[in-house]
Amino acid sequence: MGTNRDKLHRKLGVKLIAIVGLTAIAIIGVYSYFSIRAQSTSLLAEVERHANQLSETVRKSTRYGMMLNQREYVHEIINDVGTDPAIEEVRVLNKEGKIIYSSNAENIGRMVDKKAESCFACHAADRPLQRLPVAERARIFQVGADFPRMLGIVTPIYNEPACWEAQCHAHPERQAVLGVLDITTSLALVDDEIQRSELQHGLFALIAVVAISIIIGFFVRRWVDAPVNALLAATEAVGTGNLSYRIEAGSEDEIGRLARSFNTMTQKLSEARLQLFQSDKMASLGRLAAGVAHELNNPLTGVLTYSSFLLNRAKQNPELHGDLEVIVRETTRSREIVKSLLDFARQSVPRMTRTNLNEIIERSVGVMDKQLTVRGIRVTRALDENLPLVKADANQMEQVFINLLVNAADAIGERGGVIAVRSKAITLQPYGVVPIKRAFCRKGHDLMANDVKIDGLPSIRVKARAEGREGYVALDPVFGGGRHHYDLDVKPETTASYFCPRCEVSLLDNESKCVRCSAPICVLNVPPHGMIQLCTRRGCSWQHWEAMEAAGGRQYVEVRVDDTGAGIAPEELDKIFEPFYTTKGQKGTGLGLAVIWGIIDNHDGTIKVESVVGKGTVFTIRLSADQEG
Amino acid sequence: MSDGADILVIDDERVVLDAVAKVCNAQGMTIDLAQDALQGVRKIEQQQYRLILCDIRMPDLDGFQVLERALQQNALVPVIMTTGYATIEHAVRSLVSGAVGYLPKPFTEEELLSSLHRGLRYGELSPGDRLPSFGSAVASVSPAGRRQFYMLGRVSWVHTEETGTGVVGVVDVFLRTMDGVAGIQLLPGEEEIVQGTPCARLTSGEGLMHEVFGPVSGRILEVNPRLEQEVALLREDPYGEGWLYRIVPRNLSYETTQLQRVPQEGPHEPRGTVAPKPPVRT
Repeated sequence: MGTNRDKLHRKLGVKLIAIVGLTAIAIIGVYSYFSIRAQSTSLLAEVERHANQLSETVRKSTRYGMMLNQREYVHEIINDVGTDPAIEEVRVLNKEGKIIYSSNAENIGRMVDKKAESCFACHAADRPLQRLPVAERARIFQVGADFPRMLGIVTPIYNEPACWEAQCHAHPERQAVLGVLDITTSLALVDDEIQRSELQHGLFALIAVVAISIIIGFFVRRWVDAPVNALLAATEAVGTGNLSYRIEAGSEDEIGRLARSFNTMTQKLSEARLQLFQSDKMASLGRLAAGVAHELNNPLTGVLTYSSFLLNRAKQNPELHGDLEVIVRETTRSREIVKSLLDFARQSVPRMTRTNLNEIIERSVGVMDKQLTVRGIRVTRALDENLPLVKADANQMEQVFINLLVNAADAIGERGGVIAVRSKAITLQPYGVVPIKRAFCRKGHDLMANDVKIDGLPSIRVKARAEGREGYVALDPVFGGGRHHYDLDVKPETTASYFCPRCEVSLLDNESKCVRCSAPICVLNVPPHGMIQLCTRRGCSWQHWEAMEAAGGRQYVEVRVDDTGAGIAPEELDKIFEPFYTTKGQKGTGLGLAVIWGIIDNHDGTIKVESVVGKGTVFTIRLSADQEG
Repeated sequence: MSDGADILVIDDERVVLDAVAKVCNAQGMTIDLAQDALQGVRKIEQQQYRLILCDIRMPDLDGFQVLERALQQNALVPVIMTTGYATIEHAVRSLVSGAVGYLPKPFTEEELLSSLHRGLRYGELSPGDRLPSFGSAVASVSPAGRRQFYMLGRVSWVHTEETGTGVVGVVDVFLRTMDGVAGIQLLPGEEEIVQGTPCARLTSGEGLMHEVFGPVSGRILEVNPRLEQEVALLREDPYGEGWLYRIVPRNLSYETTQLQRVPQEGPHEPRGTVAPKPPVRT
């Protein structure tokens, strides 16, 4: 049980966390990748622009020196600029590729190959290009793995009139580019920046995933785990037979609704079980009581006849006479007790006529009225004037109401109080209630099977084929009931094709599908109430009965008897309908409510009790007000 | 158990047979005993008894089958049904099927004796007197039509009035089986009477108490005010002025189906036989 729960926990919680975590990693990863790329691109562009600007500045500040051919002056400027730690080297190359100025003195005079990477951009083609945009003049390179990346930018020094007009050494006029200024800056800072950013993104991703997991874990535990575990515990409790187990359903979400419907289900189950249990017990107790009464009456006849015989002949012996009187009196009392047992056992055959329960209520209240008034008990009546007639045994129903009134009065005791009797017509939906009594295939073969009964009613037998197997299915004859018996080895959720067991005609309705699960549906003729449609998927309880559903709910008469008495403790509520259960000590036989229960059960009705200790008790009786059944 | 015994007692319980024998012998009645139904039937077929006391629940045959055989043999033989399984259905069915009395177990000596006495007296009545003679009551009825009576055997009757109330009385045969009516004990108004259970007690001239079983159930509206003073009214006009109660019937439509209708369909025959066939209960 514990490990199951842990497993489930692992399954739900961890699965969710894993999925959300992976999604988060993927999203953050993609985002980081593009973000870092954009950042490094913009950083590099900035560095390029900066280098270009620097390069232009150097070119412009050395221009005058070059014009005047003041080489020392140019040298000074280049050296000064080159002292900046971020600048690796500043050099000027002439047309031939010779380094004529350099911040790195030892390089001066060295030749640079035109195929070298700094020259490649312009000199790749046979005829060198004269003008290039900044981005193409820049290059990024690395001398070795241990060295930082470098950005070099080449700025051409163009010929201008002042150059070829100068008297010094005068460049020829047709020469477009006189040489280049090449500045190399270190990218170490930029690279550091990018690396830090990558690290930050990674860290952020990690923190985000952990945080998301913790948050999800927390809420899964709170919204899924705890309620699911509560549900599991409840199903286990119900599984072991504890039908009074209730789940605390707090939330309004699906799990909360599931918990509530679970509670409703167990409550209905426990009511049904009680009803069934009672019915069973009553039947056997009835037989027992009848048997006991019969068996007891014969010996009692012997005792009573002999003792009364002797009594009549012992008049001259006062002592004997007195003793015999005791025997006769006590035997007569025994006779009354046995009679009440028989009365209890005798409820088997109600004498049904169409009856207005209001009249019976009035009569019962009339019988009790004086007695109740003396005890300071007021009876209020709220009777529905349009109450439909019900088929009932008037005597027995009167017995029921009088008994309920007596009980209510006893519960109120001497303090005085109110008994409220209410009657009303109510309508309950047919779904799950109305039995299907006749069913035929479209060729008119009777499908009812008396040998397989479901909940006491003959089932509807159809031939079923699924997954290449063939067998029979006994359909639950209660409209909306899903307790089909499968004589066919298929798993739940399997859809089967139904046929008439006699003529093999298909019972499927090809024109429509189950509105719940879209599985094929089967259609049966149920005269005189048209047709009934039901889903063929095992486990789907969808059914549709046009005639019944159109007719709407069925009419019932409900009578409530409310008292302001002492109430009944919850642990006693289950027992009050049991024979010989009494709270009245010597006063009662403990048969009253058992008799009521038996009577209502014989009328195919239901009786329900609700009670709050100190506040009072309500008995609710429901009888069918329909013409048939 | 000699030939020509007065009373045949059929019961599968030895102690009941012995007790009845004890009481009867003390009264000087001769009795014959049968400890099972088949033996009882055989005896009925072989001999004439003045009275038969028969249990209802027995192995082989039940008391109603014995009753049927006995009535086939002699339609007017007095039979008293007795049972330890005393129910309204048994009471009504016994009386409607033609038994003259119904005696639930356990009973006292007095109760047994009063039943036996009535049974024996019934056997002494002329065949005509063993049937109800309410002809004049039925004939003398309102212009609207004849009055419809429902009979619980030879014990009690009820007829309905236009207002929906019912009037309950005692059948003349019952009164004839008593040694005169010396006194009457009635239930007070507002009480309930129940079909097949005692609703009045008549004291005979010999001082025996005879219980009248109610024909239907209902709440008593009115008790015949004249009866207490003039008990003789009962015998003088059993179907008219001698009524017992006016009641609000509880379940008349059902309960009357269990009774005999008088008159039955068609013109009334004053001294016709009362249909012995009871409605069959399933």
